[in-house]
Amino acid sequence: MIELRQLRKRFDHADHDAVGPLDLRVPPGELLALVGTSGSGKSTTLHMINRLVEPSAGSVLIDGIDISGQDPVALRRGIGFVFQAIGLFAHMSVADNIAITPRLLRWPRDEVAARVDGLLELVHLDPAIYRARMPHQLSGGQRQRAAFARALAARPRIMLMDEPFGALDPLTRDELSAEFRTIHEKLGLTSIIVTHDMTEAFLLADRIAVMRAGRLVQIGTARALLADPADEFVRQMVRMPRLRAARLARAMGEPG
Amino acid sequence: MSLDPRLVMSSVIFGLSIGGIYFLLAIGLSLCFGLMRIISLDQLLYYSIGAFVTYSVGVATGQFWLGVAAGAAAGGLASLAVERLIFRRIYARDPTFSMITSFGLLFGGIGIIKFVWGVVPRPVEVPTLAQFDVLGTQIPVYRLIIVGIAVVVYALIWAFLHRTIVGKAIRAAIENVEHVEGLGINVGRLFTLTFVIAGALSGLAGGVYAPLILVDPMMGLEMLAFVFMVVIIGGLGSIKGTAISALIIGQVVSLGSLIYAPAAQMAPFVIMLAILLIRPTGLFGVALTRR
Ligand SMILES: Nc1ncnc2c1ncn2[C@@H]1O[C@H](COP(=O)(O)OP(=O)(O)OP(=O)(O)O)[C@@H](O)[C@H]1O
Ligand SMILES: [Mg+2]
Repeated sequence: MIELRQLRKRFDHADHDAVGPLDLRVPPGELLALVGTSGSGKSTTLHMINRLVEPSAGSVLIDGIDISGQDPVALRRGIGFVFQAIGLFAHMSVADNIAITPRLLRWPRDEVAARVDGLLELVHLDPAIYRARMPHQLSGGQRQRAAFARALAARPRIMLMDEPFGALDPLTRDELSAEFRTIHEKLGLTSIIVTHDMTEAFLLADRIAVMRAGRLVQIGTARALLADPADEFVRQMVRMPRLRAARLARAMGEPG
Repeated sequence: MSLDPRLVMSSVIFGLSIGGIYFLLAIGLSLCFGLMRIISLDQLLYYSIGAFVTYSVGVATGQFWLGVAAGAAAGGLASLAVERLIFRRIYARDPTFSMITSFGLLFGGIGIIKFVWGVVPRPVEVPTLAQFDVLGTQIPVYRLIIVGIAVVVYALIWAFLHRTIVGKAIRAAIENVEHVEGLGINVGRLFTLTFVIAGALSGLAGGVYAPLILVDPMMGLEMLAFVFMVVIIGGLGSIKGTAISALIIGQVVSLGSLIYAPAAQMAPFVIMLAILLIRPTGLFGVALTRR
């Protein structure tokens, strides 16, 4: 379980909080989508959960334990992280990218190799083909898959993903997000995924948290958000998929 | 103006050996900056420490190479202590802050050296006086040994950074430290290791260069400007760039003094300015402002 309590972040020299105060509970096994406009503090929130950013106030608890007293390195090993910019290391093969943490932890070599192949299969990249590739030899979607595999390498129980499907075509996006849902369930993860795409959030997540200007505006299932949006902003956000579907239907209906 | 080809030959070798020393010193500065955004002028202190330890061990045991090994070890240990006690606390600060801090360390350290070894320059005996005939020119073998050491260090550092997982992680962290941290990798350990390697190479540089100069407390300061230029020209965080620029500056210094002595002091600065005008990041480096 991930729990944020009155979590706040104000960056140096800023005149207002980038995040918070924010209260949020993500129960074990949940897949939560974090949505909100650009600059609303989604990335900052994720970064505070693995201590890449230290909060200005408030606390983060994982399985009931305040992470501020934990060793950041050990903490991060238990959390898979996929960065907004993917962040595969350009000068390392796919296998090295995935294996870097286990190898630095000195897992036995054959175990690492088996883990790499297992993870590549899990994300549907043929190990024989992709193991030795360099990141620049992959398509955007394949890179994303490799980044997933890397995030899973140290057997985390939590996954934090910052717009992992950002730069992909809609088909690949759908495919990957459905696959991630499967992986999430299979491995029993607790996950937070940041996305801009409301449709994706509806289809993928158990609950959706809407952020604006650093604060949580509403959290609930897709059904709850649609039925009873907290304010005009949420109403607009959650109506987006339907509005677009309607616009599409109109466009298709019109003579060509 | 005509130059005696034999003079040119020995000057080229001289340039290669001084370039090798520049390289050993600059590589540490360059890696420290690339990885930690620390401008580690205190490397010049470990250079002096390496030379003095080489001197003292040599006097005590009569073993020059044992002294060099001890000098490199002393450089590594000194930089380990400085990393743990001081730099660890200022990583989050601006690079200029680290530059001021390391400058302070350099001067403080020079004081300590004066206290321990005194101010009288110390001679270190050249381990071999053998000469080597190249096209009728007598070349001291020891200068070639220095070049050889620099080449071996280059190869080892290259292999470390490209072939081992720890080295690859260091390169990854030079690329983007946050992405490495986010994976649960202990970047603090990578920082310490890089710092110790840098300090040991600086100590090694001081040790191997000691027989060709007089070992005195200020010797680091004499190197400072040249090493700094090598790092800037090569580009921060790039070993290849550092090696090439050490070669260039070595030749400029030695051929410069052959052609017109006052130019030897000026020419490297002119070259540095020219390169920075064309490529502000140096030959191969990363931009100062990233991260
Ligand atoms: N390192 C930083 N230093 C100063 N301000 C920052 C820093 N990182 C983020 N901010 C500010 O904090 C606010 C929230 O940024 P954040 O990256 O969390 O937004 P986001 O919701 O992830 O946006 P996007 O959807 O565009 O990725 C922004 O105003 C941003 O400018
Ligand atoms: Mg973001």
